[in-house]
Amino acid sequence: MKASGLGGRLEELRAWLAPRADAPPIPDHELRPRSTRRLRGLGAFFGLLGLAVVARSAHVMLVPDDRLEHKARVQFEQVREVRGRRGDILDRNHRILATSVDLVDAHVDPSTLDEARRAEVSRILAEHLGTNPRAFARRLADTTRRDVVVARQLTPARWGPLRAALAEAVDGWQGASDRLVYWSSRSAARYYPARHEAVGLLGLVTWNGKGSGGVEEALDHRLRGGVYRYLQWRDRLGRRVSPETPDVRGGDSVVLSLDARIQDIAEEALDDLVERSEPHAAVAVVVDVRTGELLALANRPTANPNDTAQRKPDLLRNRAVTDIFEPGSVFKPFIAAAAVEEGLVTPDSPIDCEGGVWLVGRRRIKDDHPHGVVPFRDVIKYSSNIGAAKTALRLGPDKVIAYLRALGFGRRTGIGLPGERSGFVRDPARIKPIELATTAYGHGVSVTALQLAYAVAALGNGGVRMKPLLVREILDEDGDPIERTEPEAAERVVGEDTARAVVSMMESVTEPGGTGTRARVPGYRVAGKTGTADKYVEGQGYSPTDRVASFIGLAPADDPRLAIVVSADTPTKGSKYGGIVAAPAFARIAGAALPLLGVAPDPALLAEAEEAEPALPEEVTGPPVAIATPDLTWTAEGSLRLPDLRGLTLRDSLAALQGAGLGVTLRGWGVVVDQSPPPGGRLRPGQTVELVLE
Amino acid sequence: MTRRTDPALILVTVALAVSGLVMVYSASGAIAAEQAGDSMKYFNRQLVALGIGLLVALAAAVTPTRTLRRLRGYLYVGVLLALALCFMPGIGRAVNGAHRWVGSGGLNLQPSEFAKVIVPIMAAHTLDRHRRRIGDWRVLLRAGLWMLPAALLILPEPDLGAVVVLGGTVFVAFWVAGARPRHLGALVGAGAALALPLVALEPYRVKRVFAFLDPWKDPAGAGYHTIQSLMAMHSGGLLGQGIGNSKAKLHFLPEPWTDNIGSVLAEELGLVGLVVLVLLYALFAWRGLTIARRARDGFGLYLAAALTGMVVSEAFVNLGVISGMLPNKGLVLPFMSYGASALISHLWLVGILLGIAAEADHARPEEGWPERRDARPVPAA
Repeated sequence: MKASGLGGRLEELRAWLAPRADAPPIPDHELRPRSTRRLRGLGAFFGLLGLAVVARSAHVMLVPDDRLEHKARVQFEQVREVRGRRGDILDRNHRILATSVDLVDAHVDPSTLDEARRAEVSRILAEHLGTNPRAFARRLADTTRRDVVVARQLTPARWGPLRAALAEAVDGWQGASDRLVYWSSRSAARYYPARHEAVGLLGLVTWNGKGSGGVEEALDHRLRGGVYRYLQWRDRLGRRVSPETPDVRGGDSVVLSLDARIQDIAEEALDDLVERSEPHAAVAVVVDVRTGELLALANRPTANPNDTAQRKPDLLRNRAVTDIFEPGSVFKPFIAAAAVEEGLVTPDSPIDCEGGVWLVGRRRIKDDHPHGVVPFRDVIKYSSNIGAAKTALRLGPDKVIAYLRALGFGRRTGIGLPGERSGFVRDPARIKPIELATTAYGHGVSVTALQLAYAVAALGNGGVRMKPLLVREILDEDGDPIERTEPEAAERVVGEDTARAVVSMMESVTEPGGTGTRARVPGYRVAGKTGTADKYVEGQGYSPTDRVASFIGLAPADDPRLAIVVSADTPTKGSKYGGIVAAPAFARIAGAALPLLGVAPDPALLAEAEEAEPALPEEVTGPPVAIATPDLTWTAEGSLRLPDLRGLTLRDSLAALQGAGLGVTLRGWGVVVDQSPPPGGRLRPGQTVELVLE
Repeated sequence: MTRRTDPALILVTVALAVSGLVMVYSASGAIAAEQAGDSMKYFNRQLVALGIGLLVALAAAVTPTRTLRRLRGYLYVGVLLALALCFMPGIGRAVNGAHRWVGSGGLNLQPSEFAKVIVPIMAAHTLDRHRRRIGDWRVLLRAGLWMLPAALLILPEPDLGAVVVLGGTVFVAFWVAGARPRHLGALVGAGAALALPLVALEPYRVKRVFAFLDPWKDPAGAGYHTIQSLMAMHSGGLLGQGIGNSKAKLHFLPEPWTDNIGSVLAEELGLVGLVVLVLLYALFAWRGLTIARRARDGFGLYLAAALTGMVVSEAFVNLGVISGMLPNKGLVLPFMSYGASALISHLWLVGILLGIAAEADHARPEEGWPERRDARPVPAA
């Protein structure tokens, strides 16, 4: 049989495949039971499969597996922190010294970019951020990265147009990737409206939100906002996927004892000092004698903390607290206080100053201005090293060191600022006579400017040393006070009569013939002491040329309110004497600050000063700082009517709101463009004004 | 003739399909929102497929098995044509290099899903026609040959998984038809002999096959999928992370709404949820096999058993893959995974089962099947 074509072949196949009838057919009544049995077998087999799946899954899902868990943690989870707003730092009149501003960080995902797109994105970034496109192209070149921060801390005003330009570009791309090309994240910035003022004292906030240095570090735990920690999941593209933005408690605000007006005065006085004498460094400390409150603390050199480029540790050091120096002759009043308190001398007791040269053992002590036998008060007035040394030797080491310690030397003041040094006074059990003698005029001891200020303040406060007070109040997020610190006495160092006697000796320093006449303030009696110490350089001994020029003083002398310390390290221009370098700064600060405290100048003294000393006009100027007048008006119901702040700079707008007890929320940076409530809106103290700046 | 149905099977199917919808939404929502701007994208499509599938199932359920047998040739030729069209440029659609789809625009169909239902119809018919000669190996060959063209068209797609399921399905039909154990044994041997070179020839299959044994050897490459799935399941634990809370679905598991939907379910609903799922499939198997047992003829019995076996084997392989027990196969989780073709073909399958159930015969097996008018006379001895 011949197969014809495909059909034939199929026929052949069918025939071949036809079941052979060589076995008897199985009847249905046998087939069906057989199939039923096999169905049961099948069911049992299916059951086994199900059991296998359940057993395997239970093993995978329930048995601990470090490898899987570790990988899951690495892959999915990222511990994220959301911080509440950092609290403000305010001065005693609630003027803002440091505040937080909301800014934006811009991110780009390089892995979404090919070469052309990278070039386009780089061009847009450069256009808006004002840098070289190639710099951005380089930063975006690594396409394995998924998140590059291309700009930090942009103001909303800068981010807006940049985002718009990026959006336009990305929308124009054909077949754009599913993934985000750019996005933004919130980033809080710290703003210091007073720029360079009190920088060392206030400190900074680092990029990760921690206080570094000064008050920012010391009170970080209060200022810092609450932290909300949560596990943030990431998808495979590394993006954060949990949408939650938890509302976190903001940090407390801190009201310092500082008076921004006096701080301004101190800063300007130092600016003037630096201009005249060009020292390596200078500090000024102002303390409220009666309460121990720190009113001002200024350091030179300094920098604008708002400009990250200027943030160098050396420029931002709080030298008045962290740097020690040999004080020199400004130490003499403390020895005098000890001697008077011990009944060893009175201001009028005669003391032989040996004509300017005296031997202690084989060492010679010299006076710059030789004197013979003088009343003890002149040891201070003319700053006799020999007179001070003799006094200290008569007192003996135990008494001298005990009084110095009682005045706060050789230990930290306890003001609580980071990096504070304790300085050094010798051990009375091991001190040699020559060392005791030099200690009397401030050598062989080291102190901080802050210690000097509180020691002299103790003399001004009738012999009672006050505990340093820096933080007056702590306010919660809403501006309600939650803690308050009251002034507190530390210890009585000398009796009231002794203190008055020493202050009167110090007053003679500023009288004609004294070393500190340039400290005189028209209209006020002032007391003080000059000091010009040879600078001790570690490992090299005393420098033949470098000096530390200082002035410590109290004003007014008849009822001291302010203790002021001015110290300049290594003046390089003009005189190096404390009476010439530092005393004018003292005069300037005291003259401007006393009226602010309500201490009016004595008209009689004022007239006298005009007759006697017309020669020092530039050193005694009036209040140097014009305070912006707040344009706030009170309504009958006791709420405030807001002025129109638009067009004002951040600084001026904050100044305008000073002292009203209003909270301020800032968005952006620059000039106020919007405010809430609007001009004329009413607020009660404690409520918050929101300012939008661009 | 009163038509009966199987309410339990309907309930199980609806339960599976509805939980499938929920899981598809949970697994795809985030990515769909991101990619298409519409988190409901896959959910909506699946919903439409479910609607179509229910209509198909209804139609199949009211179709007498006799009609199904009459139409079998058209169905068979139609599905072969569709399979061939997958390779035709313009009509066939390739995704990731796989030519599994036909259609354009919104509607794409995967003919292999339908082939998995149609081939068993052909095989069951042939087996039934020659059921009394089941002891003859040529009957098995004739029934099995229906697989050949379909397999030849599916293999190069490539979709080895579908061919394996197809083979398993036909094998179940052979088994319940009463084939001799030694014939079945020979078939298993031949199948293995055939599959081995296929696996060995394609390097990516070799990799896939061995990756599941030790996924940690190449966690970023061949073992990636297995590890991601195991991680998802492990993080599910006993009670799960809660519906919608899977992390693995966030781009870590490739297309978590399709083949890996089980991992997402395990992560979100835990072992408890997974066991419930397995129990649902067990219920399905129980109903399917019961329908087979009560089928009024050999065709119904063989087909019901084969289709039930198909659902069970797909579920088993899918869950075996995600739990790292079996090598990675691209198989859907029946009724659960996203995919219109699979959902519609599986609902059709349920419709066929209901059609068989409607003609149930409650006589004792020893009495054989009732006489049918269309039954061929037994060939003379």
